[in-house]
Amino acid sequence: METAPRSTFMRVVSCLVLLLSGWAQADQIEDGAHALAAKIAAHLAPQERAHLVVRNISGLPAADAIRARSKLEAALPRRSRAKSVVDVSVTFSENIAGYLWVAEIHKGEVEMVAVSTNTVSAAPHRQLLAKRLLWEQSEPLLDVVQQVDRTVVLGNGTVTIVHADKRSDVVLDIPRVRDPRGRLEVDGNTLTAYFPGATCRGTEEPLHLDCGGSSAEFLLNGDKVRFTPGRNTIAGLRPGEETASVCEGMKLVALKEDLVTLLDKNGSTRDQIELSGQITALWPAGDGALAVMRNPETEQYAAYAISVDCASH
Amino acid sequence: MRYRWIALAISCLSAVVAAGVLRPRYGGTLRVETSAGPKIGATENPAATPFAGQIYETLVHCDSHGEMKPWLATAWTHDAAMGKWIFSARKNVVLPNGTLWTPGEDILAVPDTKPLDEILVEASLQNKAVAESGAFRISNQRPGEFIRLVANENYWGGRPFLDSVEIQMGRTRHDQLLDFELGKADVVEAEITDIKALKQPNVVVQVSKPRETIALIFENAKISDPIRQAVALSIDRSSMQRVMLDKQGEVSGALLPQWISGYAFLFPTARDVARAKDLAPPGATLSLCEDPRDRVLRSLVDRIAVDVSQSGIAVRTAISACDADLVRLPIRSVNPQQALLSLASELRVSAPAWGPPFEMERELLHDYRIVPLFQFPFVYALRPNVKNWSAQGDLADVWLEEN
Repeated sequence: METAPRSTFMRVVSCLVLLLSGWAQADQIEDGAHALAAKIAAHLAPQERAHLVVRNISGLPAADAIRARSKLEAALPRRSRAKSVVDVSVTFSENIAGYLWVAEIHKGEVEMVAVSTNTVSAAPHRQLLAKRLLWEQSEPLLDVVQQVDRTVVLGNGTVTIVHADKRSDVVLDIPRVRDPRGRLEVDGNTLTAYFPGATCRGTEEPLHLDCGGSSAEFLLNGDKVRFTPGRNTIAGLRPGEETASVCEGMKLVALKEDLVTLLDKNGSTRDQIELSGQITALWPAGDGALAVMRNPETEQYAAYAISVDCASH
Repeated sequence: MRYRWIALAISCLSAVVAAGVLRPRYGGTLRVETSAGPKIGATENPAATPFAGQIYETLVHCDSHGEMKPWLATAWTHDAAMGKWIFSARKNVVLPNGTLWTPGEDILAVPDTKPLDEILVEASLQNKAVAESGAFRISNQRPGEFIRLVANENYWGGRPFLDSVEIQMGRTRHDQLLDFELGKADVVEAEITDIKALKQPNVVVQVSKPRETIALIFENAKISDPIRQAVALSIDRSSMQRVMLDKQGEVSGALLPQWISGYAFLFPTARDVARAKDLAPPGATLSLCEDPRDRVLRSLVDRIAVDVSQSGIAVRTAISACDADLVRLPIRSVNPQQALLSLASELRVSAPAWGPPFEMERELLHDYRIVPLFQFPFVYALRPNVKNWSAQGDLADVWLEEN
């Protein structure tokens, strides 16, 4: 399996995602402010105007809270000649689903609007071992193979192929396993997906795989291995022995749940790279490895290509 | 040179040992103790304990964000002609007798007389469980005392990591801690006032977000509205939390914690003795129940009695046959509407009309028959080899690290 350099397509997609997420967040604040203003205005008589007292008890950043307040004030009816003022306590709160903006209109009414939370992930920091984000999704992610013109993603019973201009998905009929495992092999147009208790073989074009009810052998660091049916292990291997061999005698291992470590022939640590979540898979890939992690806060799965500069070690 | 070899050996050893953290391990028996009631395993009321969801399953399930997700039903479609929602049954669901679950139309077709949100939330309530198909099965039980669960090897969601779970029920937190210290239990409940004392080697203290509401429940209908309101206004929640709860937990006038609902702050908590005195009729009396087995609640009841008597209400405490009871109400779901319906069911009060959560909660609290006082987290003491323990009582993902 080989990982190609990041394609222009992926760069463009990443930039677009960042731009769109910022735009979407701004939009959500404006939409939320307008929705709440409309609800407040519905309780005001023609000769009344609202006087806002605003507090933020949520994780909404201070700058966004200020913006939300000004949008809210701007969206409320401007009645400079209003005869009476109605106090409205606005609380930027949050609940399990996202932000909740609450207006207590001091006439005995309460109004609320839900505003979705937009999480902004921290920028990755550079280390000696390099990592590169290949794929991210909310469903369990087992393995990813990136080719020059496409990315093939193995989920828990799904295969997804993403080209620059199209995406294809197929659902596989495999037995469910807690802590699911899976390994994907791509050879030209041929796809093979290995799972505990099932193996699926087929083609990319057309995308179709047939699954059989046994764990077939696949290659791991040059050795033939197979998943244990109904379990999250590889037959004959202890968890610590699941490593990726790199640079003639070195290996990448997950010593801690969020840390990929490069060990030399003597088992000494040569370099480490941190991922922002719990590593759920570490597979050999080309001259490096593919690490899959689950971020416990965002509950997103992400696959990273971990590359090693063998010449420097 | 010698030190270099020692360092290298330690480095190699740590690599081998630490690498085991990557994957959950299958096998082992988990020993759990709980103060929860005796009705686990009782099919007539499977909602009675947090572990019942491991045995009995519902058509839909509330996820960790409070959203309803497919569970025993994999999808649902609207049949306009029949005026029903049709649920699709999951395949490969094996019942304890080895047969496949094949539900009838009475389970899978639901009249569309309500909004879909309401239908889904109702279908996910534990007392609406439709099959004994969970990740664990009951292998042995002494009702009210003990239950042994074994892994369902054919579970559609994947076999659980643990082989079995032994649950001792109805244990006081004091007895649970004694058993933990004696090595008789792997997971026990602890009081919020014990958090600091528990922080010691070989004990993992897990404190959840607030998941338990401490509330005064008026059982006796002869206690009038004004007296109930006067009682609610008399209680100095902040002082009790500061002094008696060691600043643990949260003061609250709401049933649902703020992190779930987002609006808990709208329910007042301030003490107003002057107003309480105005409301309480002369000669008003009140008897408060105290549970001799619950140290924290017992001390809170004593303090409530002092606070309420300052409003001119004569208060006495008793063991049974009381006007009001201080209880712990576990919040069984992070979906606000589902949590409120579960609470209404457990308290045996009328379910609030379906609507926005704030309106439903306001309806439950409007007559002061339920007076929330605090939100407590669940506190657990765990042995260090217990992994993935969750306050939701989801045992299927728990695993034991090899000692």
